[in-house]
Amino acid sequence: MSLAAQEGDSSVLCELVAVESLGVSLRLLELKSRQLEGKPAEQLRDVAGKLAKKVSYLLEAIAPVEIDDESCTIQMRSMPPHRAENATSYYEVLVTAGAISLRRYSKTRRTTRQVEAFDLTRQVLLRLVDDFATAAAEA
Amino acid sequence: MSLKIERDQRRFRQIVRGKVRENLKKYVSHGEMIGRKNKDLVSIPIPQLDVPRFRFGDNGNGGVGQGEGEEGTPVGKGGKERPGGPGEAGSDPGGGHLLEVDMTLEELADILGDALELPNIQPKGTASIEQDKAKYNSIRSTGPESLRHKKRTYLKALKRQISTGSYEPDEPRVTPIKGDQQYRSWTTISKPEVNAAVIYMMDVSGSMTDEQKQIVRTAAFWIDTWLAQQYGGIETRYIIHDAAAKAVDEHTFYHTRESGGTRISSAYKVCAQIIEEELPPADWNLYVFQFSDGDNWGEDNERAFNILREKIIPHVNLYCYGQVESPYGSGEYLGNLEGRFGDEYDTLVTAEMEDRDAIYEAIRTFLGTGR
Repeated sequence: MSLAAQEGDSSVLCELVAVESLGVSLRLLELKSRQLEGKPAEQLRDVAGKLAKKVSYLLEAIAPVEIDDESCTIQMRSMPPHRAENATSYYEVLVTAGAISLRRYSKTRRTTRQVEAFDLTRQVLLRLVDDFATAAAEA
Repeated sequence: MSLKIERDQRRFRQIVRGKVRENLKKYVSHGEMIGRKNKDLVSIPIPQLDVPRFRFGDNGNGGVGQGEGEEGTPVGKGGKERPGGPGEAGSDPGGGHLLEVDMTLEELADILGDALELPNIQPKGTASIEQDKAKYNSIRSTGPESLRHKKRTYLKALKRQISTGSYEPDEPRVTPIKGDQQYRSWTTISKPEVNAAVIYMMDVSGSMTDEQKQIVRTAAFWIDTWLAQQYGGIETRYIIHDAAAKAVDEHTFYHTRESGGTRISSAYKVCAQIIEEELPPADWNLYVFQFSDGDNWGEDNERAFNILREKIIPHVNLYCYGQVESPYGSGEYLGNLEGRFGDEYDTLVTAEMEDRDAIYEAIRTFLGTGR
């Protein structure tokens, strides 16, 4: 189930797995913003830096891991990832010239990484969208 | 007949070799000896080696036929009784002394080969490159003092003195003059050599941590040791990459951390260029070892596979890919690589290295092909 909303130059897309009174479970949260379009990697790095400072309320803190100048993409991940007995789980935020997206992945020893649904309360979801939008607007 | 000291030394070396063999897996996993490597020797810390030592007897009156007692009385320890008993154990932990022994890299390679049952390498082609070597096998009358042949010089002086009648057997004194001086000299011989070169490629992108690099370093040490022993010396090249690649020296290779994305194709490009310009496959036995956490940026795989298929794999004895596990788990490049090439090439070998303990098996996988 997808939920899309638009306001001004920005649009938000949520791929929802479940919606309940207290919160939601989702596989993707993406904010597309015209304000990010055409931005060089250097400026996107600043956006990622701001997000790393602000978004401290998820299961793990996130921080930039790789910066790809060629595709103008900043890859942020949980720092450190969550390690259970057989699996490693982590958030991955991609800041590109046009969008900020959030997914959560899970990886076991013998399988490729899989997108995993993650839960957010309604307040956290709103705050996250707000933080994404603010970071994009300040780019 | 060998001297007793030589026998003892030989036996000591056997004990050391046994200890190293016993603990080889630990040495391979923990890379304890890497920082202790000289040009030809490595210093190996060996714990719990019983070094032979003198054991002194008691300085008391004990001994045969001394002291009181009757026939049949059990014999106790001699010596004076010391006040205060035997004393208490100290509060500090035991020393656990490590003995450091020097071992040649060749010896180490032998042990590695035995332990992992590695087959000897069959170099491809024939030895096509001639190497000039100096062999000291002649004598001449001029040369540097460091090469002066004292015995020959005195012999010539003696001959001169005898022939001129200046030698007195009652008072034998030989005094060389300038014309008597003899020096060692060399002739240059050309020897066909089999040449081998190793190219290491390592991902130094943001997702590779220091732990992964240490795993690579340890694996590379053992690979170098084995190949150098097999070929009697090797040329080594190092390439690091994130989204861009460059050839670097050994120190930079192990101590660089970049924050860029991962584009493996960039390293392949530099590798192909080195092969083409510096190490023509007709003259060299080439070994390419690549290490990454496998988190290649998706669209780069195709580019990488094309370069690998066209410019690297057909020209090398062995292309090995070791995927080290990052904190985010092992990436997908290994699976994609195996999916793309499958069993198409015998010269392509892959291994997954989850942690330090996996180095041992990875080396066996890489070098067990005998190529």
